[in-house]
Amino acid sequence: MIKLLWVDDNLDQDLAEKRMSLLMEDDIESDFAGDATEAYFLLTDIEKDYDVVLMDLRHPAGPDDIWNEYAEQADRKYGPVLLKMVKENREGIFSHLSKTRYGVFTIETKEENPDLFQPPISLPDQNYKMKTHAYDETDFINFIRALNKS
Amino acid sequence: MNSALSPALLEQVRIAYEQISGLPFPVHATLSDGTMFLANKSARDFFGIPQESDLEGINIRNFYEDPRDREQVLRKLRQNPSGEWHNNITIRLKVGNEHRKSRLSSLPFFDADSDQIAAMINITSSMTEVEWFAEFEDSFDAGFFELDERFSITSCNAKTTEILNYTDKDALIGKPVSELFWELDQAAALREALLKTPHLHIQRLKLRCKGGAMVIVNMHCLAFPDDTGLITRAKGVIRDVTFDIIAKDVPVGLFMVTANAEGEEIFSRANDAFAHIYGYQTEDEIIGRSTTDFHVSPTSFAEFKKALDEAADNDLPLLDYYLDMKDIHGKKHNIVTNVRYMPGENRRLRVGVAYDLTDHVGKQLRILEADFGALLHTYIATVNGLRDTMGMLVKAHGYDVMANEKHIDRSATANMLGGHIKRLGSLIAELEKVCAERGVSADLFERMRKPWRRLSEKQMEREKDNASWARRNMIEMRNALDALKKTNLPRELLKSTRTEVDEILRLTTVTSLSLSLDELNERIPEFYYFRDYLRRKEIELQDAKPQNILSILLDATQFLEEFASIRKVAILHHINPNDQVLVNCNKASLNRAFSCLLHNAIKYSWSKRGDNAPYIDIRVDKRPDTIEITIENWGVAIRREELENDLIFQFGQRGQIADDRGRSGTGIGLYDAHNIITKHGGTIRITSEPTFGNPPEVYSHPFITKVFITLPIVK
Repeated sequence: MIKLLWVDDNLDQDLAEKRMSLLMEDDIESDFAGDATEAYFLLTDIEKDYDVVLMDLRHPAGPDDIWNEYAEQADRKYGPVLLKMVKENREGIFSHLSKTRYGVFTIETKEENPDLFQPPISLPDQNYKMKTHAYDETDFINFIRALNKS
Repeated sequence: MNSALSPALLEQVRIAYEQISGLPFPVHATLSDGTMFLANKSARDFFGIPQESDLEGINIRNFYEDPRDREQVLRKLRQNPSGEWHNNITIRLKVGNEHRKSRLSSLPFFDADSDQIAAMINITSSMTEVEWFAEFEDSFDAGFFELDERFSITSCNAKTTEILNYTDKDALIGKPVSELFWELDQAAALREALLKTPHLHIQRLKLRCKGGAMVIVNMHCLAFPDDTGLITRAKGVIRDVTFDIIAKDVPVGLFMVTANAEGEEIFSRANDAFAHIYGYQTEDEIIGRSTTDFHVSPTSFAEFKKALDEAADNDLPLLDYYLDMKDIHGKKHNIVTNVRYMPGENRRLRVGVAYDLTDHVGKQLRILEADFGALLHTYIATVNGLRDTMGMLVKAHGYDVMANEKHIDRSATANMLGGHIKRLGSLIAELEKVCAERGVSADLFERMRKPWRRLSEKQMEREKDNASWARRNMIEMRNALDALKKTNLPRELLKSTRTEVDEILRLTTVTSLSLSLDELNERIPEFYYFRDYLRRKEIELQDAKPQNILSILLDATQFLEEFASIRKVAILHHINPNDQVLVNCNKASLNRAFSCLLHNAIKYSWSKRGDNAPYIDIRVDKRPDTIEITIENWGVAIRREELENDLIFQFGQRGQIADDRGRSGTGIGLYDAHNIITKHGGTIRITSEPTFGNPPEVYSHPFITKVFITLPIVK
């Protein structure tokens, strides 16, 4: 069973069908978060030791004040903020996620996001996928499975 | 008097003095404290000391115009090798009421024990003004030169060599001045001009530096003709004004900013081009003004300072920094600046250049906007067509569940769907039994039962998800049924099952289409707004006409009714469609402003009480000269600091909580509305207060947001 967390603010709109396609897979158990706050609380829940976390790059902060210091960032790039947070606290509140694999699923290109591939995030190149390159549901599901094996 | 000197040293001084006291110059000897103890006749004449008197009480210090100069003289002499004369000390002396510029030649005598100056012999001579000036000639920040009758350089100072980029003045001596002129015929022209006007001032003379660069100088030149009228020699002064001219004439703003005593940053220097950017005619008008007067907001200024400090932390200038600034008339300018702090000034002094890209950016942007506006128009047309098609599909396939011409009855559809699912459950149970009786492969049956089990076991929270979930499983089930057709199962049973599957597929598809149609209808006003914004025209009030503002407001309200019904927000207003209040306006622009404000009010409305649907309230208050329109809604808050800093009216700024529950937006609407209202001579103000009893900074509670618009009316 692949335990998946997918963070994206469009899960109820343009990604609704992809979200449903995940539910059709018997070996994938999915949680969803629509903003950074929701994602943060799911990630800090020690009972939710996810195998795969799939992250969009831009989404709203959500209601929690922990994001206030990032409030001035106009581009809403909380995805990298979350990934950085998790990677920098692997000994602390995110220690239960030591075996988790991380992936990015976005409309942006890799070139726009060089920070993802450098420490502390150090995302493997193949763990980044553009949404336009996984239009087909099978490609998308295969990407999740590949992340789990990465 | 001489007791401070050892007898041996005193004798040594006396001998040295005797050797030169017969010279026709003022010669005197002093102790280190300035006490004069020997002086020849010339010295007595020079200092006004009677010849017959002894030197009791005479101290050279008393003759210094500034007594502190004496210490400097001693300091220079201390550095002098013992037994050698120091010939290059110039001082100002005062004898009686007469000031004398003088040169000292001094021989110091050092005490053997302390190695300090114990006495000195001085030859003092007066200097002429010319000699005095020549002393400083090389330190002056201007070039001096002299020419002979052939206009070759006979003499020049260090600054002249520096201006002309020579390392040694000897390289210039003897050089015909024509070789230094940028234009070859300039030397002859200069000679002719000097013959006519022996004292000539040339403001911009172009010279050629060593290496080929041009230097532009201001020159004062004085010619000395002989009796026959020929110039025998000439001399002059040049000042390098190349960079003054560049600073003045270069079409880019140059500036210097200094923090004053209160810490306020002011423009301390600028060129005219910089002044022009901000609506001034000359540099003088902008000097002394606070830089913050020209930033569009404190936030914008803070962001700029942050970027500048970050660059400085890395010892770098801030390059190609783009920012919005405003001129004295409040007009926005798109500025790009390159700026850096001056070293050693503790970040209190910075210099830079500024380019005004407003026209360039504006032109490019207008083209982009026009292109995108056209594209968006086509896209909207396509979406509208798609919307119509979807509507027709809903009507065609949902004929039995339509609530009205446009919408299905979701509740009735859900009930029907429930009935079909129940019947399908019974049919599957029967199929299972028959499959077992007739020995149909368990795998074949399992292919059908698996999606059924999934559908039965998992219910989605959202209607849209439920429809999708049921449809996906029905598609799998339909494929499994096709495979079962090849078995010996009863045809009627298979047909009935297939009918139920098809019905579920039809109803879930109609539900999905209907929900998607609502989503489209919910989004499309934003596309309309954005298209209209891109296709906008500049508001020229002289082209405006008196229009009924109430009619414009009602039009905007009606346009958003569909959106409000999807959002389940009621629109309340107290406007009589037969009333008329005339406002001199551009109708399309005001319509866009109202549409945007109403759209926001609907979009950001929510209610905690399920039994009490959210609403927006529009009120109109006619006054003698103005009309005030108030739009109120309860829902998503605007943070206090966003209101206080006017951030909400800035281009591209969305409220920090505006994303609440997936609400999309551009951050342009309020900026645009503000622009439209103010250009019509009106005002717009927004407040956002917590609902009764809620704390002011807990933004998760609903807030009452009010927009107050005031517009001048036509009487």
